Order: sequence, then structure tokens, then C-alpha cells
Amino acid sequence: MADEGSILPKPFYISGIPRKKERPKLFRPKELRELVFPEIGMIMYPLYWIKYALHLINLGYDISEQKYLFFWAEKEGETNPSESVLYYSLLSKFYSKQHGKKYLDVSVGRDWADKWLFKSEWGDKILNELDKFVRDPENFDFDSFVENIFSSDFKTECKNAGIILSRVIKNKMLSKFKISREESYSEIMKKAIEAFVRTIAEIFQENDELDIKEGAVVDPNINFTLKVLLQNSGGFNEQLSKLANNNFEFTKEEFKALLNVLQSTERGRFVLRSMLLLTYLDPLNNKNKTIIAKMRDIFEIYKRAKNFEETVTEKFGNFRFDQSVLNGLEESSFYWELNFFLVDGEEIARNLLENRNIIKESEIQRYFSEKNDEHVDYFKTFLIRLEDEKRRVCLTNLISKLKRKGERAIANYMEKLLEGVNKHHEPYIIFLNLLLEKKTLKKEVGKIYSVVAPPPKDVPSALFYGIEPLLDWLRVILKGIKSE
Amino acid sequence: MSDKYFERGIINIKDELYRDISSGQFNQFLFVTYTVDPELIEWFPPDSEVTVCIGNKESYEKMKNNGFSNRNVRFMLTDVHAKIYLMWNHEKIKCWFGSFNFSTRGLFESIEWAAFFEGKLVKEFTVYDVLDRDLTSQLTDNIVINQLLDLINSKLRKKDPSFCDNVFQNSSFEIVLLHTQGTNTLGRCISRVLSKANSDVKITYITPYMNKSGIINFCKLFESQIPLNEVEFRILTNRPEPSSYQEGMFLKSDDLRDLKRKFKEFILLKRKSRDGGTILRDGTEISDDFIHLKLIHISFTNTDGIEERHTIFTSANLTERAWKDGENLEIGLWVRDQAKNEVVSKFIENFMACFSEPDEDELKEIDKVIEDLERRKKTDDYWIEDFLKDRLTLDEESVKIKWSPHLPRIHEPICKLYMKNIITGERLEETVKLEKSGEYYIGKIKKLTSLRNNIVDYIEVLLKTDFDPPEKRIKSNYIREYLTQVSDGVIFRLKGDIGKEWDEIVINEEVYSLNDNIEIKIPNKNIHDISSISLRKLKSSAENVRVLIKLEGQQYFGRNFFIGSEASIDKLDGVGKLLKVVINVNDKLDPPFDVIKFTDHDSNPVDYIGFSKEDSNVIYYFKPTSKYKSLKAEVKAPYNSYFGNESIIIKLPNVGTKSETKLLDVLSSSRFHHELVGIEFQDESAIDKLISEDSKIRIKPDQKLLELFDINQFKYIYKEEALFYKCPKLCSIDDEITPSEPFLRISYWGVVEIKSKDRTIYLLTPKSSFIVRKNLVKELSIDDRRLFPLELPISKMKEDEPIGWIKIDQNDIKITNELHSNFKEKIQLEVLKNGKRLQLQELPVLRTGQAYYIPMFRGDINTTVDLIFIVKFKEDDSYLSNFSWAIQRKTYEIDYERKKKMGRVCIKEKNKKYMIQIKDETNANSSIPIKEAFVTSSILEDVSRERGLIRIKRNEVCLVPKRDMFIALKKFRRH
Repeated sequence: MADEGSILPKPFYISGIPRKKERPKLFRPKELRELVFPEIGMIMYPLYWIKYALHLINLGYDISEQKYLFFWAEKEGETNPSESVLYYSLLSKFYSKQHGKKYLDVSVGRDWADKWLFKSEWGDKILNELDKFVRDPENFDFDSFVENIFSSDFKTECKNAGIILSRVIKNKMLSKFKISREESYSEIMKKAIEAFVRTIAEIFQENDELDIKEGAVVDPNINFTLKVLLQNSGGFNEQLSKLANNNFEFTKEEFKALLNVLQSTERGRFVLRSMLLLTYLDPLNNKNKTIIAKMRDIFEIYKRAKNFEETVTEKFGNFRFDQSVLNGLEESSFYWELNFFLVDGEEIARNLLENRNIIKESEIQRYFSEKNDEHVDYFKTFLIRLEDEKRRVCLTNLISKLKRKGERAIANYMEKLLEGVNKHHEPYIIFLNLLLEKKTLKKEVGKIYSVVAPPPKDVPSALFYGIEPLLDWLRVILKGIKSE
Repeated sequence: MSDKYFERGIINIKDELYRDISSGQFNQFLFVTYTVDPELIEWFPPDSEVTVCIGNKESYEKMKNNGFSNRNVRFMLTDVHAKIYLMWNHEKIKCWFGSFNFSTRGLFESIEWAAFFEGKLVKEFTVYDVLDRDLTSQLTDNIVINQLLDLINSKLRKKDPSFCDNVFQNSSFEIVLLHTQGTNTLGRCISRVLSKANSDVKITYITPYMNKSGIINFCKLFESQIPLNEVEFRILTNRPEPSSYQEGMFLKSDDLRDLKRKFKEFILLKRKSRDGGTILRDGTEISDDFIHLKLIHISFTNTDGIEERHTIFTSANLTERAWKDGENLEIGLWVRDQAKNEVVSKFIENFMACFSEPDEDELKEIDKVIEDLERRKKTDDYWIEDFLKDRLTLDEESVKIKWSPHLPRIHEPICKLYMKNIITGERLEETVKLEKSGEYYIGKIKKLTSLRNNIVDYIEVLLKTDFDPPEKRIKSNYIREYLTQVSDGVIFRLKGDIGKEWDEIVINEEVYSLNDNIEIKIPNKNIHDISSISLRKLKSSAENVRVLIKLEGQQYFGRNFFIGSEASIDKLDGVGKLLKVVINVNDKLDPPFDVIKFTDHDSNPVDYIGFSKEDSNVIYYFKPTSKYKSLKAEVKAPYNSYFGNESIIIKLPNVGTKSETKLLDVLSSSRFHHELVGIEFQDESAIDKLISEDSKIRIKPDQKLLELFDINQFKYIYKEEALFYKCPKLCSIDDEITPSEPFLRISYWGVVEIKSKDRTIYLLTPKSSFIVRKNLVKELSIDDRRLFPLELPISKMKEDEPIGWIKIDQNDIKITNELHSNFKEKIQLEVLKNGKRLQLQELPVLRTGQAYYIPMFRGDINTTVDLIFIVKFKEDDSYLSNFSWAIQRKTYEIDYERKKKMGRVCIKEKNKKYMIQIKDETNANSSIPIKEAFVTSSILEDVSRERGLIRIKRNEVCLVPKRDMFIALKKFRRH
């Protein structure tokens, strides 16, 4: 047993080995997204942040190497908080409020910076406090400012590090906030926001003992930009240059440029196919819920649709889609159906496994037979639909494609699914076997299974995995491309 | 398991425990846990004996009804909150302690502490022996496991854990087991530790659950020694979440404000939000699961100005239930070793990085969570013992249970009374069958009235009932939520929040059957008339139930200890005038002399010089004095548990003219002393170090007293000093004390017995005491035969020429397994030859091993050589002081038989007959031949140059013995 180097003296130990940090999907193989909407994750941020990423590239920042982009952009050892995600988030929120235009608010990081640094709803709280600050900077109550904005975790950390936070912030804010009489309120607030983000950046930069969190929040957008827009697109071309700016609003030309960039890459074409399928269901006039419900039957809908291409092209302002995009829509519609099945399985898995480290087979069986859960119904329905030959061909083709790509694990997973259906297993057994195949569960003694990586307590619903962000983007594009 | 974590002392308890249980190496399992899950029972090997003592009633009911046909598992409902996992076979034993229950949550999920101890069995025993027999204290070679076995055996057999307590009181081991049973060594430990504190007192308590009352009761243990406004108190805990907390188990902001006012600093630290508070200061990551571990760490500067740290790994939360009520057995492992405590200190500072202090907004959120929890719990649970507790009464002659018709139906109640003589510790049982008589069940008691000093410790009630506990009693402020007023009465309707599967409802002490209905109408009642509602489930048939009730107070003991007193002057033949105080006590008692203390009007203690017994009364004798006009007599343990600090004032008579007290002065200044039987050892200071559980001790009077009294008048009284009362015993001076186990503190008084005309008076000399240590040496073999040559030219030899060696090989000194192996090198041998200490000369020449050689000389021939061997430690430290030194005496007669030129030396141990006949290869120079192959020549040369004790001759190396010394050949160390 452990002795030297142990955190407790022999013979004492603690339990508490952490679960895997990267929590894998419980049921759904991650890579299947590739075929539906590659690089569009569970959470995608407003399209603006794609322009922001391209804007930074345009300014010479290496966006794949930014460690603390939420707080500052870094280039050749120089840090710039005024190009940070925090700065543009606060600024867009301010403009949105000032002009009464909700869509201008592209702020991010509400949860990311919550609790460890700021209090919840920190964006509005900071702007309210800065509003008070700009009115009378000298008499501003910095103690209340600290109390109202910062989380107890951060305040405790500062206290332990001997930092008197209110005093530090006061000194820094006042020294950075310089205005002239002629400046508008809007200009003054912009400077206050800048002073604030510079202050926060300096506090972290000057105090190593404070535990700063890495990341940009908008990493999925940056990732999308790098891996879908920039990959194999022939570098920073003319179309991309049109998008590289920090204006919170989009122009029609910028949207067309975006569609052109998308159809110029293979992965972009996957995204466009999904956009086209969604567009057929008229997202500008239907709620997400309706669209999503219909997308569950998209395989059938596409099969029976007349004038599919004309209908959707018209909605894109008669934008000319390449044939390479339009081919393969049937296959895409099966992938959507399969993806929904995986989403349902994921949702069931999260419900079943949330907050627990072990599960018994009887509990899974009971869940499938007794629990009034629509996902269980959908799950069972898909297994019946897989009896259909066309779908089985699609699944078999997918398995071959996965094998060709060397995606052995996902191929095995899909084979397990097919095998379960062929052997007419009970749905809960297919579910359990897929969880075991996915290595989410590990068999223990008897019929107990331990959860290898239990889902976090506050995990959002799996159902919205990628669809809603895509719909949000799609609506912005559809509205913008037809305007003027 | 990840090696990285393993090396850091972060383990997967589930894997470790599963491996031990299912390995097949153990077949006896005795588990103590608060909760248990049925799935885990499959872990036990099918042919093993398993008993699980469960503290939680719901958990016990669940397990009892589960039926594990493929496992021989017995479940016992026991009032425990401790978590202990003992497993053993016929030769070895392993014990896991921790904060984790034997449940999936405890083993798979929560953050817990764990520790294990291993040992070898000294004597075979089974699970049933622990449950059903009074065991000896030395069943294994591991002190902590022996403490634990004593504790569990005592708990289950309802006796006092004397060995467990004596280790706490009288040893200084680095880890000691504490408990909250009776003597509450857990609480005493906190008091004892903090009694040494002078300043800088910091207490850190890591706990999942706490409440204000728990904190206040915890602090009562030390606040008389250290005011709270000099104490820094930190609590490290989880963020309160409704799923993890019960009502009353977290501090509200008002509590926090109150506590902040009381202490120098009071900080509540909750788990950080960031990453779930999982990153320690040194970067180690732990899981974000519920912190269920309970740990107390205390640091302070002591009265000598030295910083001291103590840690208790415990099962006790910082709650009222743990620190005030003490209903459930809690345990603690007290870490005394300062090096270990420094590691814990570092861990806490490291762990602190996972916590932050809630601000005002968060305190408000916490209040809200707690209030929601309180609101959500609308019912209180009632178990069969809750009904019995308030309705069972006991008097001298009978046991009664008052039982109303609205209570759960019970049949054929039988009470088993567990009685104990509080002076002798003797236990008795009486089974009483109760008969229905009106609203009572009554049974007659026989034994209780006929015995003195007897108390009823517990009553075990055995009955039959179809009641399926618990009954849910709706809290009065929620009653109306379930009632609807209609024109001709009130309708009660069940709602989902209290469940719907109930068989009976009790409204205002009227029982109604629900018959699968979810509502019931109570006719002609107004909603305001309904003051109580309870819901009850019934089993399909009546089952046997066993309930243990601990009695508060002893009603039949009488109200007062003291009945009266009387003081007078008495004159004893040969002694003179004495002040005599007669104490009359309640006739249900028969107190020994040492249960009353006397003080003067300034509360200074006043010592008596003798006592006598007259029926149940005690008569005390004092030196005649006019110093006081009165004395106060106050009752002490064990009676103060039943009579409080009852006292009586005794008016003293006028002593008159000055008395002759010379003899009394000699008595009060002449202690008896103790010595080891058979060892006349002059070094008195060393005697206490030689006393072990295997010693025989004799008590001897002082020489001065021998001159004043007849030898037949001398006696002594001895008593084991324990945390609970032990009765003193009067012994003859020829009686030897043979301690039954180590770590006892034994006190004794010298007694001079004076026979007066009507009674025997025992005059006392001052009290002395000693502690019985753990026997260090199990066996000491002495080789006194092989190293004497067969023939020697004695006539040519000088007086100081050697004739042979007596050898003690290190391997022949069998050390007890309890001593940590790294301390073995601190052991050394001391030798006294004819009362004179020989000097030890160490020669580091051997490749392996170690041996001592005591030389004999020509001058010893025709003499009796008295050798005393003492196995001792080179230096004293607190750990080594737990072990006794060993002593062995050998007396040899050395003769010489002349044979032509050469003669033969005969050595024989006194009273034993054998001869040594070994040819001396070195002729006249008797030596130990050390073959060169075993040592390097360079080392030999160094040694010989430095000490002149070795001579290299031809192919042999010889030791050159000198008088007044002995030699240790030991392993050489390379530079």
C-alpha cells in the first residue's frame, strides 16, 4: 500500500478517484455527427463568433493557440483584453440593451464564468454596476461591486492569496478609465467595459496563485471555423475575407459568402444537406419543437416530397447549390433518423445513469417496461423501423463506410445494433448491450453494472444535441439572405 | 486502479474491500455499519460465517426481509453508527475502518476515509464467540484489532470495554481506538488533548453533516479549559443539496452568525463550485462526489510552548446525535504520532483549495435549501421502541408496560432484564413474562430486590406484532393539508407526498381501517378537533420482534445515597485516639470504601487513614484533629451516575487534648512497594519498566512498619484503575498480583489490619501504582553449553584467563509481533554478573545476524555465578514505553575436575544437571572462532586496532575477553 508521497499518513486512505475528465457520450458514438452536421456540437454560439474567429485570424492571431481567449487575445507575447470574448460579450450585451435589439446580444460564457469567477447572471450585473460607475467613478462603491459581481469561490481565493479585491479593482479601474467631456454615453460605457476587462486580465496576470480557467467559450465556433470552413478551402480566400470582421450584424453578402465556403468543402456539404432537409420543414414559420418532431420522420418525408429542391432553393433566395450537395439527401435523412435513435438512447441513458455509479439490470428492465418516457417509445419505434429493407441497406452501407474509414469501434457498435434487431432481442437488452459495447457500463458482480463515467449532475437534455444551434444558424441565414 | 492515485493514498475502497471479502482467504466476517445494500451480500464466500450489525432501522428491515438463501448471513439491529469490517480465518485477521457504510453509495460513490489493520490470531475464535461469549483481550497480535474486538464484544455482551479503554488511558501508541460507548473515550480524548493547549488552538472538522447543537456539545468537551473566543474553528463540508441532506443537518445563516460571535474565528467552508471543488492545492484531482468522510484535526501550542497536532479519523458527524445523545456507537482512530499529524495538516491545507466561504447571497440560498428540506418532511417516524420507551416502567417488584388500544397490536410480551452489580461488574439476567391487566402488561421481578448494588442496564422486550414499522405521524402544522371539512364531519385524504399504501390510520387516538381507500370520513367532527394523525402499515401475520430499551435512571435504587452520618472519637489499642466517621447508606447499596470523598469547608480534600465495614455502612478513620469543625462527604463513581454529586455534611466532635499521632505519621509516610517475584533487582526505577501481563508482582511493606507491627497484620488492597469503576480487593501479603492483560494501571494501598473488639479496622498507607506494559520478549533462550572447551590447562591459567562463553543469539530473543519491526534495532541486552553491570562492547564484524557473548573466567571456577539478563531499549520514547523490558536470571555453579595435566570445567545451572564437554581447539585461549569467510579482513583489522578485542592468529580470528565486559558481534555497515 501507499506510503511516502501519500496525502494521508499510513494506514489511512481516502476514496475519491475522479471519474474521467472527458465525459464520453453515454450511448451515442460521437463521430456519427460527421454524417449529419460535422463539428456542430451540443452547444454552438451565435454565427457572429465565426466572424470573430476570422477577424482574429485577419489581425494575425493564431486562433488555435489562444489559451485564455475569454480574457485576452495573445500574439507574440502581447496580450490584448480588448479583443477578448469577454469584451465583445459585454459590448454586444450593452449594445443590445441600448438599442433594444435582442439579436445584437451575442454574449457567451454565462455558465462558463459563473460560480468560479462571477455570480450567476453576471453579464447584466456587470453592466448595471458599470452604469453606476461611469456616472460617478470617484464615489463608486467598489466593495458592493465586488460583493455583487464575484463568486464566493473567487473571493475566497483572493482572500487566501492576500488580495484585497475591492482595493485592487478600484485602483486599476480608475487608472484605466479616462474619458473626455464630449464623449457619448455609449462611448463612455465602451471604455468602462474595456477598463473592466483589462482589470480582470491584469488581476489574473499579476497573481499566479489565482486559478484562472483556460478557454474561449466559443471554442466550438472556432473549431467549426478551422475544421469546416478553413480546411481544404484553399486558405484565407476572398469569400472568407468577406466574413472577417467584428460587426455584430451580418450582411447579405456575408451570408452568401458563408454558403459558398460551406459548399466548397466535403464537411461543409454535410452541413448544407442537413440545412436543406430542415429548410423543407419551414423553420421560419415553425417552432423548433415542431421541426424536430417532423425531423424524426424525415426519411419518409423526403421520400414522398415533390419539388424538394425547388422548394428549398427558393427559401435560400435562389442561391445556386452544387449538385454535389443535393446528391445524398436520402442517405442524410436516414442518418438523421439514426441520430434521433442515438439521441433517444442517450437521453434514456442520462436519465437512468444520472447521479449514480452503479445500476442493476432489473432497474433498466423496469425503466423500459414501466417508465412513461417518450424516448423509450421512440427507441422501440426505431428498432421496428429497422425491419425496413431500405433502412437496413443504409445501415449496412454505413457500417461498411465506417470500416473503410477505420472507425472500428463505431462499426462494431452499429453491428451490435443490427445483431440485436436480427436476433429480436428485447429493446432493454439491446440498450444494455450497446452501453456495454460503448464501455459506458462495466459488468460487476451478479447483475450489477458500474457506470464507468457517470453523467454530470446538471447535464442538459441530449435531445437538443446540435439541432437547435443548427436551426438558430439556419434561421439567421434564411432571414438575412432574403432581406434587403 | 490508477497507480498514480494509489501512490497518493487515494484508493478505490470498493475494489479493495471486494478483493478482501471475495478472495476466499477469510471465512469469518463481522461487519458493523449504519446502512447496507442487499446486492453486496453476494460478495461473501458462500460457506463463510457472516454477521452484519446494522444501525439504521430501515436498512435492517430491508435486509431482514430480503432472504439470502445462498448465504449464511445474520443481521442484527444494533445501535451503531460506526463502520467496521472485520474478517479473519484460523490464523490471520484484517480489519477495515472508515467513514463508509457497506452500501453502494459508501463503496462506489462518496468520498470517504479508510484504514486497515492486519494481525495474526493468538487464539482461534469465531464470529459466534464474539457475539455470544466474553472474550479475552489478547486474541490477536495487533493492539488496535484487540481494542476493537474488546469493544465489539463488550458492546454486544453489554459489558464495559476495559481493555479498549486501558489502551486509551495507559498506553502511548501512535494510533488508538476511541469510542462513544459509556466511558466515551472519543469525547475524553478531545478533552484530554485540549487540556494541554495553551494558545493558537485551531480545530478543523471535515464532515458532511453538522448542526449548531452538535458544535456546542462538541465544544463543551473543552471550553472549560480553553475559552471559545480563543479557538479558531473551521468546518469543511459539501455544498448543501436537497438530494444529499436531511433536515437539521446543515448550518443556517443565523446559526453561523451566532457561532461567529462565540469563537475567535468560525469559518464554514463549503465545496467550491469550480470543477466541483476537485482540485487540491498540489494539483491532485479527486472526484466531485459527496464528502462523507469525518475527520477532526486539532493543533495548538502546548503549555511547554511546543506546537502539537492531533487527528481523529471518526464516524461521528458534527451533530447533536453524535456529540450529545451518544445513542449510537461511534468510533475514532486517534493519531498521536506528530509526524503522521504533520502529514494530515498538509492534507488539510491541500484540501482547503477545494472549498470556499459562502457569501451573503449563498447563505441565503443555503437557508432556502434547508427551509425547503424542513418543509418537505411532513411526518415523524415511530418505531415499536418509540412506543415502548415512554410506556415501560420499572419498580422494585415489577416491570409494567402501559398499552392503549390505539397503539399497534402486541401479544405475549416478555421482558428480559439485563442486570449488573455496579461494584463487582457481575451480570445477571432475569426473564419476566408479562400478563395483561387492564391497560397494563405487568410482570413480577424476583432477583432485583434481593441483591445490593444491582442495576438494570437494559430491558430486552420480546413480543409479537403485525405492526410494520415505521408509523408516520403527520406533524401538527401539516395536519390540515390532508383534511377537508364537510357538513357532517371531516374527510381525511391521502396524498402522494406521504405515500398511499397504508392499512390503518389513527386519528385522535382512534384507529380506522383504510381498506385500500385513500380517504376516510370522520363523522361529526370539526377540522379543529383533529390534533393527531398517524399512518400505519400491517404485516399479513404477527411476527416476533426484539427491542432493546436502555433505561434512564434506576427508580428502585431509592432517592438518596446517604441516609445519615455520625462522628465520634475512638481509641484503638496500640494506635491511640482516632476520629471515627460512620456513613450510613441506602440499604439497596453496599459501597466499598473508595466511593466517597471527603473535603473540608474550603473544598480541600481530606484523607482518611483507615476504614472499616459494618453491614452496608462504611466507617472512616481520620487522624484526630481540631483543624476542621465539619467534613463534607460526597459520593463518587460509580454511584454518582445515579445520585449525582450527592453530599452530606458531618459535624465533627471536639478532639480535646492533643493526641499522640507518631504511629499514624509513620503509617502515612511509609509506602508499601512492589517487586517482581523471583527477581531481586536493586534498580527500583527499572522495576516498573519490567512489569508486563506475564509478570508476577509482590507487594511488600516498608522496613519501618515491619518494626512496628506484627507481620500477620500486613495486607494490601489493590485495584485496577479504569475509566469505569473497578472494585478494590483486599489481599494477603503473600498473594501475588498477576495482571490479566497489558495497559492496566494498578493501584495499591498498604494495609495494617487492627482487630478491635467488634470489628476489623484497615489502616492505610499511601497509594502507589504501576502500569502493566505489553510483554516485549516472548522467549529468551540462552546457550550456556556449547562454548566451553572440553579440556583446559586450568592449573597453568591465571584468574582472569577465559574458560568459555555464554551466548545469546539475537534470533533466540523472540520479540512480540506488536512491536513495529523498525524498532527492533533499538533493543539491546544488559547483563549483570553477580550484581555488577557488565560493559557492552559492540563489534561490527558479522555479515549477518547479531549475538551476545558473556565470558567466564578461571576465577569463576568453584564459585556460584549469578547472571541477570535484561532485554531493554537503548533509549526511551513514547512508543517504546508501551512495551516492558524482559528480565531473566540464571545462577550457575562452575566446578573443575582435574585430569592429569588437563582438567574439565563443569558448568551447571543451579538445580539443573548437565555438563559441557566441548573440545577446545584453541587450547588455553578460549575464544569464539570467527571464520574469516564471514568477515572482511580490512574490517577485522580496523576493529582489532581500535579495540584490541580481536586477535588474528593463523587462520582464525579470536575474541580476547576482558573482565567486566561482554561482547555483541553485530552486522557491519559499509561506508
